[in-house]
Amino acid sequence: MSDLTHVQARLLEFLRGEVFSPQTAVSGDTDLIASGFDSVSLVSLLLFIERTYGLWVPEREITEATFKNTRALAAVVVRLLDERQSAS
Amino acid sequence: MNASLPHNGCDTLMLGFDYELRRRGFAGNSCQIVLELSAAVDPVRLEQRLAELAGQHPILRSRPARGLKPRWKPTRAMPRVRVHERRAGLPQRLFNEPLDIHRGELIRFDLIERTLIFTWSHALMDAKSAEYFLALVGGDHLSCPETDQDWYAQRARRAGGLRARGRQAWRELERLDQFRGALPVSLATRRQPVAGRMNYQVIALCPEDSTRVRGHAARMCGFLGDTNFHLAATLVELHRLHQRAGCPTASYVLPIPVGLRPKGTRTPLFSNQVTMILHQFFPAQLGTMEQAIDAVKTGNAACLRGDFMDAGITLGQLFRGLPLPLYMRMIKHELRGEICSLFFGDAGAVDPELESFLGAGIEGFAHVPAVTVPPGAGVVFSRFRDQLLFTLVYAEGTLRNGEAGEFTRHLRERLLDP
Repeated sequence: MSDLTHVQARLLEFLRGEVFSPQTAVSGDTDLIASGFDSVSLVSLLLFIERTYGLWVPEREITEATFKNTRALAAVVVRLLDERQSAS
Repeated sequence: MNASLPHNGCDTLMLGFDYELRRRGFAGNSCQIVLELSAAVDPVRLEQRLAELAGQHPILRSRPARGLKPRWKPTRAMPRVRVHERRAGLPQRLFNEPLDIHRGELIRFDLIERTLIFTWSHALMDAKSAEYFLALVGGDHLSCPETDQDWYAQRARRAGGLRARGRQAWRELERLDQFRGALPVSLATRRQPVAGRMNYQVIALCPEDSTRVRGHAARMCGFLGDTNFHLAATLVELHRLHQRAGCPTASYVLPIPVGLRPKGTRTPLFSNQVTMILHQFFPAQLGTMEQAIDAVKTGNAACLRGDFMDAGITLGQLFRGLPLPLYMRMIKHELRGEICSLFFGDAGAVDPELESFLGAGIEGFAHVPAVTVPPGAGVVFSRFRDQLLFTLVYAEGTLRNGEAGEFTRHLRERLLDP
């Protein structure tokens, strides 16, 4: 499984279990904002990413484009993890 | 549907506030939604709809039964619809008229020509549920899909067994104990309002100004930052109000309501699926909007990171069986008689299904909240279509001559020009 697929799967698992109702079908392309994702969901998700990957998503990356759907978010997380690895 | 539903920790908190308000001569913890309609609605048709719903959901005509397992007990009462002639000061009088919750009156409708006032006991449901309930009552299809699922209670159980839950609740009490190091003192405590009457001001920004405020929120608070922006503006103006009034305080403690229903569901409808996270802010953090925003963001992340949201829920759930006088003493004990410095709420966008009511278009909308004394004042934001609204509620005497108008004017200006 590629990093991107793995990260996306973890994010989806969190969103399905902690943010969205069981009746809400959440896939990689689901528009999170249109489905009710709000500011508390955002902080919860950021904290989940911090706990899981030791990465705090920087302010400049917290945009509508990043949180449009899980696929876009996973791509940003993978890029940030790669950048961190390159820097170290 | 179970006719005898248990109260969760938040229902009990709302009942506690109701007890406290009535004890001090106020109407209780009942709130209103006011709709301005394009045409008057037929009261008989509305009564029929309510009777049908009360038949399906006996909780709508229940009374609170306290004890070790507090719950709703059905009565024979039916929701009332009253028709009034328009006259000066009538809405204000209706806002201050108590519901007879101990005889099963948990909701009431008042019609004044094209104005509809929906009053509901906050012990029955939260503001988002009230919006959706109104959409159901006034909509084309009268179905109300209710469940027995309680997200609040479920969340409290996540900590584990009773001992683990006790430990978690204790952590929240220890956090609140620390607030006493810089004790907040509300204006109501300084001024001791005694009149037993709540006053309201509803401010509706025009669509252009509302867009401007959203732009400021996005620029200063980032993505999904509207609530943080509204809270920061309210905090800065609350601090300035205390300064102007000559009532300094070592800190401000505000409860920030957080909805607990998972996204994509509105059930359970007749239940409070909300928790209040208490945040403490210091005067040095409230000099500018930038400082206040930073304090709000840091506070939110710290509360979630430290699991204090869940700790508060567990605490609420553990103590829900206490008799209300004892329960309220415990709530007020932490801050030596205070509950908070100001009630803050942000209901966000009004339920999109609330488009019309029994065939009449909805031309205006307002939330009219209740607030305990102390703090004796509160601000609630909402967004109806493309308009940002906020309501200031205050117990008579908490704010003096001109102070309420001055506060809402300054808050509006702060939102438009942070």
